[in-house]
Amino acid sequence: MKISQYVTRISKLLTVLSLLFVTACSSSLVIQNVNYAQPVESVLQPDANGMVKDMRYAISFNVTPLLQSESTKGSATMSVQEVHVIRGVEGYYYVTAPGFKDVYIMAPGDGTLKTKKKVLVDKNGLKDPAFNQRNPVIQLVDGSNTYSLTQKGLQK
Amino acid sequence: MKTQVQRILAFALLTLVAALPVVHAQQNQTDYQVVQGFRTQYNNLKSQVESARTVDDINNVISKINALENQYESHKQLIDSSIYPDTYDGQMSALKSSAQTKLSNLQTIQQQSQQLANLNQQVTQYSKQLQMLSTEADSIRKVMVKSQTSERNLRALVRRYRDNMQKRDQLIQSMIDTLYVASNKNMPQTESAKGKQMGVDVLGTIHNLIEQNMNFIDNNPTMSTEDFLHMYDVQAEFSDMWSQLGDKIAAVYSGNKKAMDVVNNINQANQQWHSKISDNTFKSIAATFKEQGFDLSQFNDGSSLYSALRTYLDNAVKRSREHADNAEYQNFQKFSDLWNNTVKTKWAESLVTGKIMTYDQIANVDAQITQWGQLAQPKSYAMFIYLGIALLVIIILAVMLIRAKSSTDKS
Repeated sequence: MKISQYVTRISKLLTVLSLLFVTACSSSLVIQNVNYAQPVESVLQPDANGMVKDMRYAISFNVTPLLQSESTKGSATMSVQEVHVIRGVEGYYYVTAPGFKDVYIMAPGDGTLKTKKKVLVDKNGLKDPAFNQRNPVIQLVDGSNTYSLTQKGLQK
Repeated sequence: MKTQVQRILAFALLTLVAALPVVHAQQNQTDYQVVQGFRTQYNNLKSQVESARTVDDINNVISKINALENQYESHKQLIDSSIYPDTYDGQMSALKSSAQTKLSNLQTIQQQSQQLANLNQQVTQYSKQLQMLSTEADSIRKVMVKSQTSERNLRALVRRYRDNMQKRDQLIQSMIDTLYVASNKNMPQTESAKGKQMGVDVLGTIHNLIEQNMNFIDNNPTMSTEDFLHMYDVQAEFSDMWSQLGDKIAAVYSGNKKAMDVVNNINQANQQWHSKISDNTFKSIAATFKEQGFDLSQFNDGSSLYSALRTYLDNAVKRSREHADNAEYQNFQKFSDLWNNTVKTKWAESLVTGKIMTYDQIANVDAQITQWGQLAQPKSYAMFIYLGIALLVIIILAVMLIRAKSSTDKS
């Protein structure tokens, strides 16, 4: 074999090895089957600025965007006395409040909660909603009505 | 028949339909409501345990605790995960334990309240009897003073008076014993208004007892020294009991102004009583000696009494050593009679129990009196006279014998 052929083969080999090495270094460690389930919902009272704080589960966020989303266009932003929050087994936050038509399924991000799904439950508005942890689903109870929710939405 | 059955079926159906929402609603109680319900009821019962005032109250709360446990046992896992790091079992156990402790305390208080009531009754009874005896003693003394007609009557009155004094002393001793027994048990830790009032009543009765005794002394200033010494003993015993009981009472009633006022009054009255009986007792002792012609130096307590006796006897011994004569010897005999027939026979026990003098001190005075007696006895020359006469007789006889012998030789 000529020298140039050797050089070509060695280069290819080196390239492959480098690629493998880089790939191995840059892949992150993933732990499977983490259970984020919150055993009981949190009922939080928004302050004047719309902030809710859950001291037990250490999360705080502003519900004003949700209130605006729930309000009818053209009318004033609705206000609520309490917000119901629960975290599901996969880690998504389920958020609703009395008067809301929807349940917001939100994914935590870098200092954010991003709406994964907005689930219409009652177009007349929920009267007295409450979440129960019923792994693998989240049970929503509103008076005599019961709904099962997952990250994909309402289960029938 | 068919209509009736239809009616019954319709009624049953209606009932079922009406009940369904209720059943459904109960089944639909959310986890949050379950946890909040448990928390609210738990905290409620916790404060009911703290505020329970009677045994019935706490037994009622214990029943409610058992009912709470039954109600939420099925939700134990949910409650555990909601109240972590506390646990349902831990919380229920703590609540039951606190209720049992409270029950035990309230039962103790109930018993002690009963004891306090009994004690109050006894003390009140003693107080009434004491008052009766005091009144009787006053009357007898008045009659004794007035009575000059019959010696027999007077003796009978004196006997009655003595009996009265003895009963009085025994009554006070009994009351002190009763209070001693009460003080050696745990003092009633009653928190009820009734219990506190009973405690104040007992204290009030004790205060009255002291007042009665002081009035008795004031009304009977010419009692015998023996009587004063008995009263001195009784007061000393009372002081001992009160010094033990008083601290415990102060601890129990420290928050009760009315009770503390009575306690302070008793402290003051007790000091006055001691002062009065002490003053009268020692004056009476001094008067007894003076009546017999023995002017002891002033004394007002056991220590100065002993000192006065020793000083008097030291001087008497010194006098006798320098000049023993009949007058001195008679003086010794009078003192010795007073000491042996009055002090040692009638007063010694009270002097010792009242901690006025000790037996050792009495023995030291005895020894000094004996020494005085030996020195005070006038010296007797009779022996020398008899010896002189005997010698003279011997000399005379010897001379007669010699003369007789020489006459015989001559013949």
